Amino acid sequence: MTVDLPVLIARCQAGDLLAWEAFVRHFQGRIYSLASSYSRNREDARDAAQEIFVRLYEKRHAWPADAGFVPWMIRTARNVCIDLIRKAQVRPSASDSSEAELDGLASGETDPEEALHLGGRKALFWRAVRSLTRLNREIIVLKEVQGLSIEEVAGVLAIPVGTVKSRSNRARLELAQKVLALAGRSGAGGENRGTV
Amino acid sequence: MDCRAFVDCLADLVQGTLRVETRREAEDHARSCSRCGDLLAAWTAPLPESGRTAREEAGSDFTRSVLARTSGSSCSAARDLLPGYADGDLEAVDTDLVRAHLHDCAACREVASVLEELTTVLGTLGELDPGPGFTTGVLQATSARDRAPSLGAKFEAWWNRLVQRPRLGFEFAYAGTLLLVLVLGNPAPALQAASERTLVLAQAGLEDVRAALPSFAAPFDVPGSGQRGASVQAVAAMAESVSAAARDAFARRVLIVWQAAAAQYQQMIAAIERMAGDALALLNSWWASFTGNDDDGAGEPPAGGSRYQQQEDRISGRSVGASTRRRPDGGLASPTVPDDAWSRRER
Repeated sequence: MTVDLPVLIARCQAGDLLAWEAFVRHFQGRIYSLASSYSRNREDARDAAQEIFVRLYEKRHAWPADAGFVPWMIRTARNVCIDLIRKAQVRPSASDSSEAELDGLASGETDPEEALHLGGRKALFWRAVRSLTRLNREIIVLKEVQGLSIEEVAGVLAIPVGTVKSRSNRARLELAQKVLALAGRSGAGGENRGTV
Repeated sequence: MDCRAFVDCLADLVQGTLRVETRREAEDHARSCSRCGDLLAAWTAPLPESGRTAREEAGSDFTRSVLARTSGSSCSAARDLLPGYADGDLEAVDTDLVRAHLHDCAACREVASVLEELTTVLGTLGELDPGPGFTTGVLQATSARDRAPSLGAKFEAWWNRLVQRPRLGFEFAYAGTLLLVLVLGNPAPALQAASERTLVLAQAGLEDVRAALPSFAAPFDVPGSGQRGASVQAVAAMAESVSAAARDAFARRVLIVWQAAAAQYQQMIAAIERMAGDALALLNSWWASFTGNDDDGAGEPPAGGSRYQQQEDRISGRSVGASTRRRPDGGLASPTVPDDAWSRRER
């Protein structure tokens, strides 16, 4: 289905239920992917993604109608994920901060890559992304995974554009080294090159 | 040529620096001697790991040994440029330098390879399948939200509509000015009192001068003649008349200055009163839109002046006639200070 986004947005704001269903189907993959990068397991990611859509539905009258809709939607989704992390009490900790939760995503007991049905090279890269430091992970997810521009990433994270530019290169280097380290430990990443 | 001589000249043979005769002897020996032939083949064949010959590897080792003794490894500098190299954003010189480094550094080649692959692989992770029933669950959750909105939701929706109005900054300026007037009060009476105080001070000063004139003239009285004293008295009388004229002229100048200032402030106060009236109308329109009785024309002053101004006119008995002109937007065009106000105060 080809979607004319401005028309879809206008229909959703007018209360068209079919348009809202089409909107959910159009963006569910993207929202779920973003929620997965902030969640420890598949169930949390689904709950977060659903909560994101509920928040978007409640704020549908404030949706920007221009090209800034997608960055706005992603910023809203990120805020919902961070709010859920703050509310969740996964494990008792002296520092029950959202940053601690975000930093500890890669140490979850379940294997998110298997739960996401990722194999081969994709799984290797996804695990490497989740093992990055918080800011680098967010920059990689927003810029490389979600395809936002540097200016849009700066707007979502509320940091200067120059910071995004400099951190983006460092984040990519860190990710490449993580991939090589994980591939070296597993011994399977390099053999599966190109067989995603 | 024997095997020892062949080994001694092997490096020069591979680098091509032997003389023609010696090179021919060495090649003949390599063809006749299997051991030396294998040795020559090992030097000239590409290595399985790097795809380069032993000569090239020897050159790289030499470079690394030189760097180790001078500036240190250049890998950190190369890796800083690898993201730009992968994106093709480097200048031509930097691209060539990085490419030359990658030719000799296997570790950096691996990193560069992953960076080139990174954008492609990560881009495929932008959309993931949430599994069956996800859309149905979202629709069920959002349909439960289709109730009458709470007061908070209603206020939020109203606020979102309000901030999208293009005149919002102008409207808040009106409201802020109203608050300013309420806090600071009307400065015009203080300015009017200042003009009166200035006149009192000027008059007092000149009275002091006039009172001092007889004491000034007294030392010049010559007993018996009276002539000098009389001339001094005449001068004193003339000074008194001059001082009176000067006093009046000074007072008139002060009056003119303060009258002009008071007129300007009267205009300002009239403008503030108009804005206060518009602010009141604006607050009424905001309340009406919040309660759902929204009037799209709210915020615009009525054609005959603001409602506040009209109410004031009715209370004070002023009529909009020939003496009071209104601007096209409904405000007063001239101050309403009567012409004889200052002369009444002076008397």
